[in-house]
Amino acid sequence: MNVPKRPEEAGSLALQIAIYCPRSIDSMKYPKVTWRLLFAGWLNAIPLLTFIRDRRATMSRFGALLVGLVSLAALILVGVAVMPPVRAEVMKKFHLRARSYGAWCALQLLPSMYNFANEVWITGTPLRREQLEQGREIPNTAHFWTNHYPIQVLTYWERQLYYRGNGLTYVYLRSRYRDSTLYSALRVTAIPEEGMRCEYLPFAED
Amino acid sequence: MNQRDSMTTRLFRLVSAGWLIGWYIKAQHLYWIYLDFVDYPIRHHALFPHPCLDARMALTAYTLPLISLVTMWSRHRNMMVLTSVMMVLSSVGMLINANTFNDATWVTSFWVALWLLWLSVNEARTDATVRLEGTLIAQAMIGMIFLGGAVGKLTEQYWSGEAIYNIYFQQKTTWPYPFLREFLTDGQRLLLSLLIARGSIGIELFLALTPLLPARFSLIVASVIMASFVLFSHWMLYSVMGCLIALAVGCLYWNWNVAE
Repeated sequence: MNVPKRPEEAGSLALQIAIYCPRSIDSMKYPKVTWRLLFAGWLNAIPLLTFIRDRRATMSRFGALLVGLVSLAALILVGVAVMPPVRAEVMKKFHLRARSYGAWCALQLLPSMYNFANEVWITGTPLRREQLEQGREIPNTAHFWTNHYPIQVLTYWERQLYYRGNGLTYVYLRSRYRDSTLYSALRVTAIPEEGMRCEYLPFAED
Repeated sequence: MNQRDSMTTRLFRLVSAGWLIGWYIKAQHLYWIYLDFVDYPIRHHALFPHPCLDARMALTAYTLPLISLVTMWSRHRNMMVLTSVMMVLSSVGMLINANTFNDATWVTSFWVALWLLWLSVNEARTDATVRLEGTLIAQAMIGMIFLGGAVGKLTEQYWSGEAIYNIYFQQKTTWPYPFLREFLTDGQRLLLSLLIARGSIGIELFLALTPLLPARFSLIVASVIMASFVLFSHWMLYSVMGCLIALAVGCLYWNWNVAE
């Protein structure tokens, strides 16, 4: 059997492996060709490398735009891990504290499932930051973790709970990632005829 | 109609069907939550303009893709473009509304809808690279989405298992977590959380490499892993994964009979 010099002449990658591996093991006649063909076959099967290597393969403008958008998104995501300013903006997204609504909308297109260590405290009285940091249970305060967007406890979960009692609730959020921590404090006023109002607060002084 | 056009149409319908199933699979769950939005509205939040606080905007965005149930069957390019544009706009509408922004369903649906838009715009192309281009875009999107999931977990609280332990083993009330709380010791639950967290990070980082891998191999592996996430987590996770699974399976179908 003649050994083809180009992977395309040998058909599919599976066929190449089926034909060439046993021959290389048995006779060691074609070790270089085998590995070259296998490696070349592997590389030829990667569309990204085909576009890079083959000048005849050109993308449409819209396709190039999409690849550019995805690449930009990927760069920003990597930036979350290595650049504290980028990380801070994405963490603020989780607390609905972005610098502008437009910026927040743009960041919404980034996938952020199960991102950061997010915790929520819900209570009827203001808390100090030290109380949240101490790690102990706080009386009359509900505390739990969320997978992402800790503020969803206000916007998505059972809203009728905020109308209980005098309708005044304090919600504290904490998101942690590596050496970055973001705290947010909100006062939620819930009045049956008027709906819910959410206001961000500084933490109560000692 | 030639063979390649027929392939594009079939591919569009396959991925659109997966997209629509994922979009509407938890409609009943969202219906009850929507009643909450209406009965207990948010009237003021510093970030949102007033229209984006309105639950009716979310309802409109959510129901708009119903039109796709009809338009996705059309062979006309303009109808395919219209279908995919509706999907993109609906996804954006859900992402920017104060009532629904937190659901990852709309993020994955947005990116897959962009791919459908690319497919519909390029419906008439007969050059050899259209398949490669579509596959590359799909691989890039899948890789980027899982990169987002992985990067956000590269922190001590996930690496140690603390976050998974608290979110699932301490707080979840759905099966099997009450059973596990009773059956396993605290140390065993912490160890299991650590293994699950590190395993998830490893799998997501591997999927983030999808654009650098051979097309068929990466699409098969991605499809199996995403389906496993749904099977071993919760069926509602299909709302997030469904469109991605359809995208991967569709591109696999597109590449299946092509010699590499």
